[in-house]
Amino acid sequence: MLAALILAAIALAVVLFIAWPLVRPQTGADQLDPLTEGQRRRLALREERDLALQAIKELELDRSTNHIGDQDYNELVAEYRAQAAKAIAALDAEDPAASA
Amino acid sequence: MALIGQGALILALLIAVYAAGASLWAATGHDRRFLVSARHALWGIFALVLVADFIFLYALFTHDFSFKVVADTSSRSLPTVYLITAWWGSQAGSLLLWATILSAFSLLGLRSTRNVLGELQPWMVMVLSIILGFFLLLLVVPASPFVTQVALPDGNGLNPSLQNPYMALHPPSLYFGYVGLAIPFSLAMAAMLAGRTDARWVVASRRWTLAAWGFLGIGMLLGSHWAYTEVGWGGFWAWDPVENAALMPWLVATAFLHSVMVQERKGMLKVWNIALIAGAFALSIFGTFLTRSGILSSIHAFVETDIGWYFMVALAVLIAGSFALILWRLPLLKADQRMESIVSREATFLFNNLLLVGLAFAVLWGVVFPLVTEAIGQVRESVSTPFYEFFVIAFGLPLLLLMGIGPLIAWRRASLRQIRTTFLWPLIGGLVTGVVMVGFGLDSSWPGVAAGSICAFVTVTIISEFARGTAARHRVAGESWPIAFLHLIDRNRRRYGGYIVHLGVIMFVVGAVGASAYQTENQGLLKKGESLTVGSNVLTFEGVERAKGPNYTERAAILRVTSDGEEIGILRPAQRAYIREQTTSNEVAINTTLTQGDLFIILDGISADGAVRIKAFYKPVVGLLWLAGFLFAGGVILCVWPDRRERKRIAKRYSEETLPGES
Amino acid sequence: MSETPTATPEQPKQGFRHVRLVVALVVASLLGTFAVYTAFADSSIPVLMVAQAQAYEGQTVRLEGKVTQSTGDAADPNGLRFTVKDYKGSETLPVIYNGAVPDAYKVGRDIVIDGTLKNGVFTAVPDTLVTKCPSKYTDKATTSDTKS
Repeated sequence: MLAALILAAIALAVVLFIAWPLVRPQTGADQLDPLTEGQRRRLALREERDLALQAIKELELDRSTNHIGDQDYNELVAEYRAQAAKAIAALDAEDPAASA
Repeated sequence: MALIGQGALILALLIAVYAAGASLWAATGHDRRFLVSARHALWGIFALVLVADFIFLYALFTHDFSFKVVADTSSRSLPTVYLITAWWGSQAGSLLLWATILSAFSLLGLRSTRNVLGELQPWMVMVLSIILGFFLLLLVVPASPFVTQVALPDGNGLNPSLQNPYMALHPPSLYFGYVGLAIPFSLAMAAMLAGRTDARWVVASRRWTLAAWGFLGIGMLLGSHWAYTEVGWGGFWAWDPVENAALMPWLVATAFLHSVMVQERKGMLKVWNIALIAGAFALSIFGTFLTRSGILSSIHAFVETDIGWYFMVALAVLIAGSFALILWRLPLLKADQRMESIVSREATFLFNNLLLVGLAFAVLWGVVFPLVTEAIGQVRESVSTPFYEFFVIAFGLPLLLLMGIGPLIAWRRASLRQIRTTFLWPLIGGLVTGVVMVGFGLDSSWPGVAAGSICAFVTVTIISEFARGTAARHRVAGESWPIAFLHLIDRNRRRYGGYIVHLGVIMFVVGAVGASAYQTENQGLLKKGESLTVGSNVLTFEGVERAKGPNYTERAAILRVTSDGEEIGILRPAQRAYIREQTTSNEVAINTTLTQGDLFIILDGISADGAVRIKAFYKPVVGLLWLAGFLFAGGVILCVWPDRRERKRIAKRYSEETLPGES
Repeated sequence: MSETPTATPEQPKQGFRHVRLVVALVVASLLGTFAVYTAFADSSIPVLMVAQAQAYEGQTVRLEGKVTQSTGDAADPNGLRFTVKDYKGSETLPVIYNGAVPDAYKVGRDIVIDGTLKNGVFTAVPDTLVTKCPSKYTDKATTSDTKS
């Protein structure tokens, strides 16, 4: 009997805890908006920018440890720089604040 | 008491079902309140599982033998420490542990990735709730820890092999690994369900995969050390299906850890990575299934237990579901770039992946071979050690070689001139080692010589990586040598942590080769005063000694050991008879010398006239096997350790579109 | 990001084909190794019950069953002699064994052992005696200890 009571108390507490977000007074918007087209685009650009910057950093380490020759290094870094610059420029065009 | 435990688990199961539904509603109906409610539900499940744990442990510690599981796996004479290991000594108990870890990891996983998740979160909650629901279902229906009976006066006792300090660490470590893989799996599935197949799930799951993988590795190593020192047949790995169950997901997760770097760098191998993590998680469920269903002894035993069917259905759903999701999202999983050259870092990762998956497949084939042959014909056929050893050599040696090649080759493409300079010293190191090994008469085993040479090759590569990186920092940043070294590692933790793990693997391989390819063995029946020679050691039998432990009696053979005429000491291999459990267990004697290796002695039996049957092994450099674990763990910790710079960068990248009002 | 291939402009097509070819070759050779080994290496051994063993007289097989009687032990010069009975049938077979006896061995335990049947006696390969967990479920920790 005691066991059943304890169990009921636990169950009640847990159920209340779970139901609370559904029944509590409204606190702001409840919509879980999917990303807008613009947000998605900016996210992709930011990832692209980070990828390129990361690649440049790696290349610098590879260069300084002599894993990669000067010619390859110059070629690759130029490519990634261009890629990063393009992404940053596009981000700036979208929203100057977001790319800062 | 049992009623509360059982009730808590039933309630947790219902809540898991609710959480899956609520999070699905949140994900598709975009109602944030249901997401919050579903997350609360995960907390609720955690609390309820803890209630069940508490009651279960309380019954164990108070010797409440009206609990069937408690009566089956413990007794009054069982030392208190081993009441803890009795938790996972039973089927129901170990599943309860699974559920406990999973519900804790679900909360931790959500918390640690909340800045990155955004719209993946409700989907992740859903996938985790479903997995949790499955294990709770097992705990409620076929494997309840709260089945009661008329209380027995005493329990049946715990299997002696579980009465061991290792059993306090080895199974939980493996469970952390198995369960930890659920987090990256749920993230991958969430990414596909949400249609967000960018790098986000990879970024969010990296540390979890690494940690789970580390726990699996350490768990296996602990298991081997246990087998070596306690089980005492003279080896450390028996290719037992239970061991293989942990090895398979570990191998696939190893492949994943490497190929995911290619996705992060180059946006390639997206489908492959999702398939790998799904495969690794499926194998971890399969491993649990293997150890829990009884299918290992025979298909017939499996048919008689119902838990096997639950696992079969779950596995089928898991595999079919992942497959269907990948197919559905295939258009989004296009590679951003292509592989440009086979002489590039990404190509070495690709080959490493093929070999690792190939090896995992070979192990899987070995595990299921008896089942397949029994299902096809009537007679079960089984494969044993030579089968596995063949594939470890055939696929493992090239893998080892790649470990030395990869770091020397740049991403995208490497030029021949560069390769010539970077490969020079490692190649010399490998060749010299090979020649020296043959010179010292170690050519009795060609895989041993090959492994030794490759290990030297890889070691020189890694050392030169550290040296060149430090030199570069010293030169460029003008830092002093030690500072340059520390900064190098700190700023590139993943890379250098990875190298440290590689060094651990090399150490492991050297130890394993020493213990298997170059061991010597001798055995004999010794009367008092007689001797046995193994390697340079002479063992002289001096008599039998009897002793009594808390729940066993022990008979030990006293052996005086000399090496080249020099006294080493007394070794006492023993046999213990456990009274309550009615079994005997071998206590091997091991004399470890760091420079020499191990002298390993088993007492096989004592005859009526007082003679003893002794088996002795001499295993060179086997100690490295265990030391390797520290390097491995150290490297993993270095890779996993929170990195403020990285966190800032990622937070900045994803800040704009994490959910509003999330905390 | 995934929807927009942002790769560097000129992809060397030639190099890519090259990579694909090598990958295909590697996969093929892995599969080949696998197929050849499993086909030609005599890597498997039949696992039999006592009732099935008669048909394999003279071959090395793996025998499964329950130990009913046992005399001698590992230290006995004549070896360990015991009788194996099918789990469900009544057929029995005498076994002669030399070598390590695993921890869990005793009368009533399920065991697996390699050997050859000749003239009604199963002569075991030394050090192949393995005990199986007595419970219906194979316990995680106990199976690895059954290796001897």
